[in-house]
Amino acid sequence: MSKTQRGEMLLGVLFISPWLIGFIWFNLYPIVASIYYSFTSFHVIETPQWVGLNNFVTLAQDDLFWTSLFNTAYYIVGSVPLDLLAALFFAVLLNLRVPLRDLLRTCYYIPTVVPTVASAILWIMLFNTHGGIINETLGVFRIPEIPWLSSPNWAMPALILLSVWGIGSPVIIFLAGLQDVSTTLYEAAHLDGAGPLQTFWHVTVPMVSPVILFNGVLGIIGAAQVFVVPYIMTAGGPLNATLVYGIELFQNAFVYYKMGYASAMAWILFLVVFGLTVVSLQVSRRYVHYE
Amino acid sequence: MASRSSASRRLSRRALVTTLVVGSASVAIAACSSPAPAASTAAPPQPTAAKPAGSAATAAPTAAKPATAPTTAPAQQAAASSAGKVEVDFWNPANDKLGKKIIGELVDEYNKQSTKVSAKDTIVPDDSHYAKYVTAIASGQAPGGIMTYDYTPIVDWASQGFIVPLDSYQTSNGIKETDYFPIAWQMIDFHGHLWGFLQEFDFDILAWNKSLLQKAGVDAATPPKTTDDVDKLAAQLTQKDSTGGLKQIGFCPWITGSTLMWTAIWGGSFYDASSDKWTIATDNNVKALEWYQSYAKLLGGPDKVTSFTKLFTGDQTPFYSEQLAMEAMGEYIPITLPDLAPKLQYGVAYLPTAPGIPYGTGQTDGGNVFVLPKGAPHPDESMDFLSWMAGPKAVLQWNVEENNVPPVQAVAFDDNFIKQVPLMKTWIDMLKEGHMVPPATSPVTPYFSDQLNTARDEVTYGKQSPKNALTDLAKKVDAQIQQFHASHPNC
Amino acid sequence: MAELVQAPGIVVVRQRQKAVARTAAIGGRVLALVVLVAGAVAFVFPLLWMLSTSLKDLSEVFTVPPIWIPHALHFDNYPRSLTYFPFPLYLRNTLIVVMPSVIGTVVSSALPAYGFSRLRWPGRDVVFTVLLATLLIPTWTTLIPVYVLFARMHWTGTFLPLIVPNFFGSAFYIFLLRQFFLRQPQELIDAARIDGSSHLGVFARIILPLSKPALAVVVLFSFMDGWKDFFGPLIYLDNQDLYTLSIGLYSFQSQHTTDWTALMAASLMVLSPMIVLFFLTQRTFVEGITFTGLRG
Repeated sequence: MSKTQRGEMLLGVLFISPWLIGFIWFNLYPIVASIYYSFTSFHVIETPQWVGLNNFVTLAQDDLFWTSLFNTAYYIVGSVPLDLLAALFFAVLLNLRVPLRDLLRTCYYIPTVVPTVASAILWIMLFNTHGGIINETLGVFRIPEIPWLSSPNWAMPALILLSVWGIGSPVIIFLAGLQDVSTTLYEAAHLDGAGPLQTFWHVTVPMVSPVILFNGVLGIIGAAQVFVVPYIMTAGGPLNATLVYGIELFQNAFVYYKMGYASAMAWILFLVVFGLTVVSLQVSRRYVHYE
Repeated sequence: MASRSSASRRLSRRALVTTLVVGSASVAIAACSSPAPAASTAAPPQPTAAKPAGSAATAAPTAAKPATAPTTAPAQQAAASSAGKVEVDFWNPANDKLGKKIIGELVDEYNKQSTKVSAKDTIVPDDSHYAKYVTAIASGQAPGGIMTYDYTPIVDWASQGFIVPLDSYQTSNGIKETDYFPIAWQMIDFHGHLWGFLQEFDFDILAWNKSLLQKAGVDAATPPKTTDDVDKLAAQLTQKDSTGGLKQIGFCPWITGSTLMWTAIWGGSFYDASSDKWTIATDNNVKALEWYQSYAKLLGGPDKVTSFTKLFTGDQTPFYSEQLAMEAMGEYIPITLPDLAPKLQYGVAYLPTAPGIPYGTGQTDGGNVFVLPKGAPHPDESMDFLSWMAGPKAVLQWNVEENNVPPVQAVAFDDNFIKQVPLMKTWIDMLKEGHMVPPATSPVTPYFSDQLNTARDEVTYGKQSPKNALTDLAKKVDAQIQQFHASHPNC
Repeated sequence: MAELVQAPGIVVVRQRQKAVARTAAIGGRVLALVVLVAGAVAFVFPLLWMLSTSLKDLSEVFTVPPIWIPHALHFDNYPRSLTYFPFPLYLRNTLIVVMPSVIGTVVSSALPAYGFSRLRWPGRDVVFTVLLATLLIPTWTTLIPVYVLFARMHWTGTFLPLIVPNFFGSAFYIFLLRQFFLRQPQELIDAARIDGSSHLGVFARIILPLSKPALAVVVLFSFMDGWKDFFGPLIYLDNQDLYTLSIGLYSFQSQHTTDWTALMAASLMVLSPMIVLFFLTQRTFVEGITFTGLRG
């Protein structure tokens, strides 16, 4: 390396040093450590005892592990497509020249600035079986009361529905993406006689497909790690119906203090999320259109 | 365009400056605020007073400079508490109104009469098996003393060495096994050592609503004594609306009363302390869960029950609102009940029992235990405080004000005491003539209680038969014990 | 124009076609507006219901049919909630944690962002890709070792684990700022360098002032993230006196699960600063999210 190159290198490293130190301290070291921990058994600051593959073997036989995996998959499959569709839907509408557009856009975004704890507590009240607003509204349509958070069958659907309340960010991202679609394309479609649905499917969707991918991947990663809302609203119940992976991991780590066991769980999560991301990117190759 | 962007630039600059100013101000506040709790808890326990406060040069430990905190904090603490008294940080979960008040009073009284020790009342709410307390101990930041509202963590902590045996303090404090109720003693003395001081313990008995029984044409003065009696009454007193929703419940074992207790009245038990063996899938336990099952059927399923109980807001319970005819009631309830349900006419009696099981069988629920954590900075001073809190004066004060049961027989049966707590009479009687099931004292008890509730839920939701649910539970507990022994080879 | 040449009848037909098309277009827009308004109402309504409930008497919370406006406005729910939910204390704690964190985030993200965008050095782009990759690591994976580390350092039970990590760069904000820095004209930098300015000088005197909008986004977002943070306080704080607003609210709720009117009052106290902040800085918000969405 030449002297100037070395100088540049030094300068570059100096500027990024805060991040670099943080990277080693909070990313690199923990990743390596957590791999090591997953093969041990210990209790916070005791010396870890090597147990080899024991944690993984126990996990494979642990009902709660599989339940939490299933519940998280349920949540991902239920909420991610729903939220993507809803966000795209509202973004498309907000992109039209309608009056009060800015005000309306604000309304969709406001729920995302609400602290999650407050929103969870609020929705426990709204989902109350008798007298809660959700059931009252359903009652207007003669739908009988649904025991939302007290039923093992309805608790997860309640959380999935609730996830739609937080689509403010994806909506805005979609809006930005939509606004980037050049109007000439729309004019061309119009000249070719395309109706609104056809235009949507053959022009809009392909043009924002990168944004769909972006929001989709982020959505999957977020849904796989969901914790706060089920923790506060249902504590993983009833009957473990909302025991998502995050809650089970948290319990093992911070309630039972089985740090090694929880690290094993954390690693499996990493692999699953990584796998899902890779699969999404692969699948997207065929469908995403880049400019 | 230009004006908007310069306006936003102006706003941003203002925002940045404001942030900086407020930011540095808040760091200063953190540094100079009173006991600077962040700094004091950051100080690792320094068993030897090795580092004299040479660096006591004020440098008020800021939240962002841990390195200097250790040496200055203890000096600061000693200075903060009055005139050379040693401070004992006392962690307790009492953030309910009554408990908070009593603990506060007791701590103040102790501080007034102590010349050497100053106790600090630190409230650390408990949400999950006292996990926070464990971290503090496990990471070497143990407080001076701990009080728990439940005894179940004690065994876990004892087996892992998180608390210190109190045998050496036993005689100096005049604590004798023979003074205690055996079941209370078993909560704190096991595995050959005394692990904590008990201030009180709780258990439930049966309470019933006299007016509701009268309305149904039943003799309101005679309590149901057997499970058959209860079942009959429950059926009579349960009312539903046209859609099957519950309007009034006669009885429901999972609204009040622990699963352990309702199993005890069927002659069931889950753990044998003398042999350290779990006895989970036994016939009596199965019968108890079958009883739960019958109520799930009577009431239309747990969903319906939860929808019903969720209707009661604030301090109201179904029993207070006279929509639940019979329930399990703790001894601390009658003293607060008149404020919450002034018109309620109720009676209390021993728990009903299954055929063949002696009347007066019950199960302890919990108790206030005082323990000395491992690594407490000043163990002798801590014990001075904890012994006082478990001493006759404090125990009497707590039990009278809160209406709890004292663990020492002489105190519980003392006429003077009973006179001050007339509402607890039936509970005390049950201790005299009843038969109480001892608590489980295995390290996996917290895990077990969680899973027991899950097993109960599976039965009431109809997902598993009682026998299978219990067999599964036994397997889970076994696995947990294996894991425990694997990570604690010398236990 | 060609239409004027044709017969008048066809002109009328064309005009009617256009009118129909226009009506359809307007009709479509009306329908869109109706749907949007309905949606907006549904999204905002829960917050209004929260406000309404905070002023009700407990008996009015779950009535059938629902009571929209309470019969008497129970403003006393607010002081009442303060007895279990010491808002001023929790607010102080939250500010103690969030303010330094914001400063730390801004400084420790801006410097690396400059290093990744306006400096050339071997390996720069590779390292930046690594930075991006860290965004995909689930928080759970690094959580336990970090926690154990803090426990060994005796930082658990203090504010330190919540504040200090923010002084070591946040991949997300570095990415965001880098995008912005990349758009600054190279000529300005070259001019300054020719005049003898060091890179640090360029950073401080040229890039930063030009980046006010992006910095505002970082300040705003990191402030709100800190305010809303629940998980950090959940695992690191134990003493109730140190609780922040989020964990304090949760603690209040787990003790009084059905005291709805007080709960709503307390929740409203916790979220209103966020709402107010949002309204004051809407533009910055939208810009911020747009920044994140548009990858360079």
